[in-house]
Amino acid sequence: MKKILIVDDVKRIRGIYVKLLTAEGFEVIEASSAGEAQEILKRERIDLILLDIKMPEANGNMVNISYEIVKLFRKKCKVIVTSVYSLGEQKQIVTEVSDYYDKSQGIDILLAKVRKVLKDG
Amino acid sequence: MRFNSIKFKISILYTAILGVILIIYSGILFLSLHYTLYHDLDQELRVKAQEIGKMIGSYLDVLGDDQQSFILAVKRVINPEGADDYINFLGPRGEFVINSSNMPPELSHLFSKGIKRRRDGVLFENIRFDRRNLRVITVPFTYRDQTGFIIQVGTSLKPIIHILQSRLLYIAVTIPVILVFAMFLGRLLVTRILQPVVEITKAAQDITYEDLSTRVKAKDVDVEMRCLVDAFNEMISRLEKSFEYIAEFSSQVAHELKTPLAIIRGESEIALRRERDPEEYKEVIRGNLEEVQRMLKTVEDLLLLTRLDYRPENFKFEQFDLLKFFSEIYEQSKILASAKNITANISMPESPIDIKGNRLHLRRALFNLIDNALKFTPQNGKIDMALRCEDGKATISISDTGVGIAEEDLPKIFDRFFHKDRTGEDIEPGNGLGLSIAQSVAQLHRGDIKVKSLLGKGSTFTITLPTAYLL
Repeated sequence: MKKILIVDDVKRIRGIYVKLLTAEGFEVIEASSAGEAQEILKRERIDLILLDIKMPEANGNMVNISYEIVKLFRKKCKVIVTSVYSLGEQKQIVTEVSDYYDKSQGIDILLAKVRKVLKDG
Repeated sequence: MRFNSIKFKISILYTAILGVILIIYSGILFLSLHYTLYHDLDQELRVKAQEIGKMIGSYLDVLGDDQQSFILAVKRVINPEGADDYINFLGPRGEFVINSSNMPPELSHLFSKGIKRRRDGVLFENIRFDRRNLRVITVPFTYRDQTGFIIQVGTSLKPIIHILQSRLLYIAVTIPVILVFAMFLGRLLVTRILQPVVEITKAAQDITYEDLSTRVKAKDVDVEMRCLVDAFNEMISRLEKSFEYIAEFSSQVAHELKTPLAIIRGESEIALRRERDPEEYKEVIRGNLEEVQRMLKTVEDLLLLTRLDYRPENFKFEQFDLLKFFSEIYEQSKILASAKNITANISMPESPIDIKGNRLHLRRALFNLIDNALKFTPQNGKIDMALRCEDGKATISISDTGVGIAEEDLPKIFDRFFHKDRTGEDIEPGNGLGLSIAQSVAQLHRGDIKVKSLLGKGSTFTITLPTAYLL
């Protein structure tokens, strides 16, 4: 069973992903902060991270830590960046990840991206 | 060239002034030359007339002074070889006596006309005859008993007229040449001086909503133009900042609203993936409703902020007692605090404090601070509410024993949409507008808001408002 780590500070967003992905048969772990995510990544084998990023102005630390996660763990696992920002903007903030997801795109697109990324692996 | 342009006006004015100056100057020079030439010629004629008088005298000394000798003497004297001058010799009453042989009778007649204008002494006059201009001197001649005779000497004005005419021509040619040259130079100068204006115009034309980065690059310009250029560039910088702020702000608003929308969409899509119990649907609808309410609150707060900051005249102010107002707020806060097992303390003076303000929005600002204090203070903590009045200023402070604010965040907490992620703590995030509203309300009342905080110890927010006597 593929294991997915959801990193997002908004509880209800994590709730949606958990409901969606568990129903599709994935094992899901939640982290509400980048620090928490790093702890989980150190002790568990994760196939895919759904990583929320924020713009530097809103919260500079968040991007830096997210970026560190990407740098540290992208060799070990896949990363899909999720955000309220458009795909173009996300690509400017974080590079070298498997895919990007705009949170307002709806869950079908997220599911398709998750499946595609995990299948490619 | 446009006729209403500064360049045209300055060129014309400049040239006109220069033209007037040149004409006056040339006129003075011309008149002084005119005077000098005539003066010299008159001197010459005077000398000639005296010479003639002396020579006649000398002849008479030799020949004797009878009528015959007199005529003979005069004839000799007035007809020297090679002389061009006209010499007329008249009797005491102006009657014709004798004249030089080069003189036609009409000219002699013209000469003799002048003597009527002569009083005692010497007369100079100009006579025009046969397209020639002559200068004529009339002097009295006396020899022993022979008195009342008149000698007239006329000489051609041609050399003088020639000099004056050529000077006039010279003036008439040089002034326009100088003016054209000056106009050309003036235009060059004006063009150079006005160059920054052209650049400013060009920069202004290049500036669009999308690109406010253009600046006027006028180097080496005069002080006044430098001021204009600097003022212009600074204005563009301010505009650029405002536009950046607006763009960033709109983007922030959009993204703030995108999270609840994403939640509503996600929850709804999840709910629709399969058949569910009515209770499950209700749960989803309730959750979505919460998000909708959250969005509405954000939108309403934004509208309020806009009105507070840009339409302050729309808020009605009334005079009321801040003391009474503050104790009412305290009573409500106590109830809110007790729900979280937090103690709320109050300290305030006894005498009433009159202030002019908008009760509704002051209440809102204070509750934003109190809500924050309660939100970030753990159970069994306390909040202190204090009201003081000194120097015509009322000071309200709300202190908590909460988590505090990191020093690097202190300058940002009043910014719109600033909310620190407090993950791992059981704190419902706000929309990041509460403190902005509190600040705008304080500013609406010509007051201000300050914060002091120690991480882990708690924060104190202080609103200072002028009392009614100060307003």
